Amino acid sequence: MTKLLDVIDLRTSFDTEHGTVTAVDGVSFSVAQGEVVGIVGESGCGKSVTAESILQLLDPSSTRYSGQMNFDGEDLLTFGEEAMRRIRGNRIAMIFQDPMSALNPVFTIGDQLTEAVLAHRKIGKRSARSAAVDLLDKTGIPEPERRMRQYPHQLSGGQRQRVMIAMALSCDPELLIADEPTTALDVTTQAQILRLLIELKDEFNAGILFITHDLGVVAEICDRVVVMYLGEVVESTDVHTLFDNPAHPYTRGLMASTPDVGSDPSADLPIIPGSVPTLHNVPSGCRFADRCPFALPECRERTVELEVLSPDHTSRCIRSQELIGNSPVKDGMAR
Amino acid sequence: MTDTMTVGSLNRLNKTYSRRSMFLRRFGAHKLAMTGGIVLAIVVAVAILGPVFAGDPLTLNPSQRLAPPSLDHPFGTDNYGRDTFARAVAGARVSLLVGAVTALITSVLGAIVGLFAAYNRIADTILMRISDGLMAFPAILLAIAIMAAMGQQTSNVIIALSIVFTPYVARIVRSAALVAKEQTYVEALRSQGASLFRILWINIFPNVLSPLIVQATFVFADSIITEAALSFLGAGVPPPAPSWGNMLLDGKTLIYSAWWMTVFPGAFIMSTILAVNLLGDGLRDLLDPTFNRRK
Repeated sequence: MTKLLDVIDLRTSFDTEHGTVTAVDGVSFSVAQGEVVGIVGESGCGKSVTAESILQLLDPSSTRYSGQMNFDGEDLLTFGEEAMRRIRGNRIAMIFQDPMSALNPVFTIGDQLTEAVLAHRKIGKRSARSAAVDLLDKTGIPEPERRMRQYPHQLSGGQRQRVMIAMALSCDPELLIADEPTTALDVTTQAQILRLLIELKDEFNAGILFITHDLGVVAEICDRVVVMYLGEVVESTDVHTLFDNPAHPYTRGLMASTPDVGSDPSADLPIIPGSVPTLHNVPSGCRFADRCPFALPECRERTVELEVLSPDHTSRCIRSQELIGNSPVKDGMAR
Repeated sequence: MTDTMTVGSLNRLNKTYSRRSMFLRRFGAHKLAMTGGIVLAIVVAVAILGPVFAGDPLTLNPSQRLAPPSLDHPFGTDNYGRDTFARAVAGARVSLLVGAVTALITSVLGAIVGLFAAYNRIADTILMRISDGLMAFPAILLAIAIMAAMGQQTSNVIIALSIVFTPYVARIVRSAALVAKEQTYVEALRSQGASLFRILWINIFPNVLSPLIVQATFVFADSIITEAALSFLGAGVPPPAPSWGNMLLDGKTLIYSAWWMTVFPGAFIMSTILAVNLLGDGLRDLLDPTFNRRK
């Protein structure tokens, strides 16, 4: 499989009133054609900023990027705003977490979808409109013709997310960035949307970068997974290895705190103690050490580098070798 | 969260009535807005049809000086024997023209400045500091200064008032645009490669239209008052052309002997401003989506 997007050592920092904060700190990963790569982590770990950095959607006056983002052989970070505009929505499309506010309330679905089609294809208004109906139909919305005449508030959350997907697909993107596309939806709708994404990915042979905090969703659709914590990649591997053999205590903590069907509903769910530190006071040494049940004194003394455990498995922990193969996952986490 | 019931009933509503006819129905039910609209419509009709029935506002008739209201002169005559009714009607033309053109110019300028400021931080700092400066200056004083610099002409009154009131509109548009700009759909549009023009004018502009319309009605009322004040101070519409403001100026010294010279233009000013403000308040209620939900 060829690498469609290859992010190398991406660093995204913001100038704030309290100095510079680095929200994404040396993140590397790649997405191949037809592959679904998940980025997982808690709120504030930098996963959405990573997504927005790829399309450079962040406020240009206060954001600085460094590193490389090779997309189809060209480094996106060397592109100017004009060149990026031709990439956005054209070759890389994005869908958002909140379908309630991702559509302009003052225009009909048809207006917005037709506008998106017209922005990328040189066709007449009438054929753009029928292309829009086809796209809606493809996403499985019932009565696409009627939906075209409706306003966003007349649609349910799941339908709106389908409209967003139709809009993202309006120009056959090579890469689709999905920023928590199912978080705001209920579970049955969530399953439908995930199925739809997979179907469309196979049809268009696009790569998907899937950002989520839900490990259940990851297990369902991702081929490979990048786990992020406080702006850094802490573990990166294929989805089977991740669930069978998690090597980083943070990954193990995330898994332990996910309830499954068999777990006792009255028992307290294991949690990761503490909360994510702010970017203004990033701990020295291992960033997870203060919350880690496996932490040793030396964890806090030196910066921990990503360790290659196998060709397709890296982990940022000095005890990875001990933890790997040391299942079951739930041992050792605080209750 | 919208539950399925509301979505269902909304669908039925929208099927029966278009958005425009729904707005007109609600407008009809809003008594204050309706009153304001009717009074304003009467004043506008009087101003437009004035020349047909009101006679000439400039004809001098020394034998009829300071005549009290009668059948010939329903509002009496002034110290030159000119018909006060004809002058009040002609003054309505001037006042409404000044108000309407000023509201139009400030809306266009305010929308451009406000949207641009909302989208560009450097432009924001510069434009908003300029408007801070303009707003810190008393409106009348600034208008007098501008009139003094440019000369006494009705068109200069409009230019002066537009300079004075544009910052108020720009502020409103800017703050509404700042809210709209943070919505996910703007980021979604950028992620689709939309140009700045498309984002600002096609997508954000319709979302700031409601506050803009409401503010424009208040500018309309304010500029009628300010024009009257300017004319009253002798810095507005130049005599002998009548305006409500310079009619009050003429009547000021004779207020005890010829009350009709001040009372009638004053009543015109008051009822017009009241009507426009009622209409503006009503529009604010009707265009505010949260207000509709409350009912």
